[in-house]
Amino acid sequence: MTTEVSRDLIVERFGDVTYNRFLFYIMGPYKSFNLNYVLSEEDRRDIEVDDLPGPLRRLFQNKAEIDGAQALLRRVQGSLRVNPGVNAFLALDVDVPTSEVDAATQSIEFTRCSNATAFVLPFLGHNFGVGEEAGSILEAYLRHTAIG
Amino acid sequence: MTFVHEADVTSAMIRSAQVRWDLRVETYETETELVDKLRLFAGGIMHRERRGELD
Repeated sequence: MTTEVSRDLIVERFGDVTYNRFLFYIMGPYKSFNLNYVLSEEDRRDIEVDDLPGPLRRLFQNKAEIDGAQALLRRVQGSLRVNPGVNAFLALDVDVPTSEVDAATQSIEFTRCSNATAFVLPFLGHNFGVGEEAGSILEAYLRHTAIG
Repeated sequence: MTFVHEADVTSAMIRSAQVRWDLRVETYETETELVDKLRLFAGGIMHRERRGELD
């Protein structure tokens, strides 16, 4: 059965805050920014990281920064849930399998369902994918609002 | 929608996005500043929703 992303689905997955129905989607660069999440172990065995050009090499080496970025988003989410008490959430909390709905589509759906969306960008030494992900969401949202 | 990026992050996409979309772009130096800006953003939207200013 396919999971359908809706406001009710998101509200159901989270505990109570003062403003339950005010959904604040917090997006940030994790997972998609690290090739270790994308390539299998077997794929990686065939790649000599030191031979890669600089930007690609850094993508393999920045797991700690990615974890740090996710921890930052967690703390930000926690702060917003306490004060002002909005229903702040991260995509991974909603737990829709990417095999059912791909990550970019999920981001677009979460943005549509939310009262507010923030894209938080800590400095990770590179900015691959930032424009693409943000652009796809904005473009889809613009089309959505234009159609009404 | 808001973009809040650390002062070091640069992207042509972020700069040009404001031209094409109704979007707020902010920078932050510290985590406290980041959270403060997100609170202000959420609070602002809440007020506008209550006044019926948003579609």
